[in-house]
Amino acid sequence: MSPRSRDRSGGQRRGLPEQIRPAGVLPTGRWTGVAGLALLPVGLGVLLRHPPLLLVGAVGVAYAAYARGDSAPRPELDITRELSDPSPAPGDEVTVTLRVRNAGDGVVPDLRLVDGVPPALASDDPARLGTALRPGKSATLRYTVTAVRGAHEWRPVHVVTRNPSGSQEHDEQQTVETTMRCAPELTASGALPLRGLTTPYAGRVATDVGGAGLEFHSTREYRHGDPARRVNWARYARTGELSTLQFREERAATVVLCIDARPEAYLARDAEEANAVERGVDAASQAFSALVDTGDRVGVAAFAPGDCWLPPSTGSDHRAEARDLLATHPSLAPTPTDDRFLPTTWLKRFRRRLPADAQVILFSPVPDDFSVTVARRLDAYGHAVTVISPDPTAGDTPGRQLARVERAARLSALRGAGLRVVDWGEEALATELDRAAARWSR
Amino acid sequence: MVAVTVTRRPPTAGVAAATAAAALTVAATALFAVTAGGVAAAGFVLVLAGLLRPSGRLLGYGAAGQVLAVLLAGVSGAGPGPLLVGGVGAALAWDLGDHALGLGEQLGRETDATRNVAVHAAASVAVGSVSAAVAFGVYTAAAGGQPLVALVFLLVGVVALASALR
Repeated sequence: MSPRSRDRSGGQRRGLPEQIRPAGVLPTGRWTGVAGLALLPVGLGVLLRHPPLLLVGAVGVAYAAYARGDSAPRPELDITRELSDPSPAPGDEVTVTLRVRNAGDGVVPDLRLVDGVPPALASDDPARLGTALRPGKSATLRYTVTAVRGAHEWRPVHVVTRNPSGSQEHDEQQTVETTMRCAPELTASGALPLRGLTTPYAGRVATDVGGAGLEFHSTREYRHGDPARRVNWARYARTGELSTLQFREERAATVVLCIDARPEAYLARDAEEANAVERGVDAASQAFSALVDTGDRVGVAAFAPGDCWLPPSTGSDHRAEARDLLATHPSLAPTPTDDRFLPTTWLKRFRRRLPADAQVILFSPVPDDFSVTVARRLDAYGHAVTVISPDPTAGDTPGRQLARVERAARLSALRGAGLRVVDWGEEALATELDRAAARWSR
Repeated sequence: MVAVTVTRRPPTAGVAAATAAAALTVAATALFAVTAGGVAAAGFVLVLAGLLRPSGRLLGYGAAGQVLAVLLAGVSGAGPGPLLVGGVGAALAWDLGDHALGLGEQLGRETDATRNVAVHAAASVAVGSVSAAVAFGVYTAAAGGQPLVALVFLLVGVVALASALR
């Protein structure tokens, strides 16, 4: 019962990180020294010849015996987890019901249970339970989470049980497999201005190549076989020479949407707001729809650990595949992964996969100089790069102001290198794109 | 995405139970000797502080102070009744307080742990009161005229028996 006993064993062990906490039955040390302390009143009683003091000693001995004689906790628990909706839409409230049943013969007098809520779904609603269970009885823990994009797998339930006196503790992790898949619909918003790198196929990107189209490009000498409706009749009337009008040819483009989801890119203005990766994925899904609708071939890649690559294609199957990939690929999860990332290897592999005529739209908050390097290098290799950069910076402290200035410097370096950059602040992406498109020359 | 906030504080029911136990010791010791009552009250304040901060160390000091108060009361000649109540109270103050702190650390204040606290408190109170009753019974039956050494040997016998049973 000394104050130190707790700090020595119980306290220190409790403070250990999750990975190296020993599992199984362990003494808590909360009754250490109570037997010794019980001897004190006995000794005093004998010395002072005051028998009632012995009674205090007897109580101490009783507690010491209680702690020592108590059997170790051997919980046999059945844990099941249910979701009110295993595939909700983003923003939906999902009720999670965790039912724990005492399947053993003995009472579980002290049960503490912490559910392994996926990090992206964590909420203020406590997913923890402290109770006691008689044999065959069950307890229910109910909490709600707000669905966000992604495939969320529940982590093991952390179960701590103690015997009645609390002298021994049993610590275990029970795996209850539950997955929630939340895939947003792909919705297009506003046209995405593309750069003039195209495929030979007809599409909607106006190019600098003269031919059939809508927008005037140039005139040239009449050649035999030119269609009569493209002959410049006004000039013929004036001078008597035949010439042919040329229009900008409209072609389809191959676009690869590349989302920066390195751990460095998980940035947000504050904890309540969506991080830059979330915003990037959101923007990419809008862009994907818009581009597929206009007949362009679109692929998806993640500038992140893991292998996330959907080759450019078109059609409804491709659309469904992209929706699934954008929603649930682990590389694009709403919270960063711990996997190792080798950026230069990634860049090499990405370049090898990229079709020669592909443009790249990079969704990145541009958190460091390496993202600038990647964008510039891809542009230099001939893949016209557009950077759509969700702005995660705030300006309330000098440090944050500095980060904002640094990011602005990186963006202007990108613009200086001839890349198109959309600095996406608080407003809707379509508004920002319209503003940017008015600024850009073709 | 919302950051999870767990209030790492003991649940209210646990705090109430531990404080009540500590208050019991104060009452039992103060009935007999003012100094012992004062020490017990200081222990009570420490126990309460330990639960509110929360700090296991303070709680330990508080419980130890209460044990000291019980000893002081015994030294100044208190009878078996107040000593037993005081001793059980001090032990419960530590036990329930430490249990509540553990719950606060592992589950936080938002979690409903009333059932857990109630079961643990019931077990500890039962052990305390039964042992006090048995000790008191043996004392009244055997103490009349028996030498003190006989009682000590009786207690030593109990300890030996408890160890052997284990």
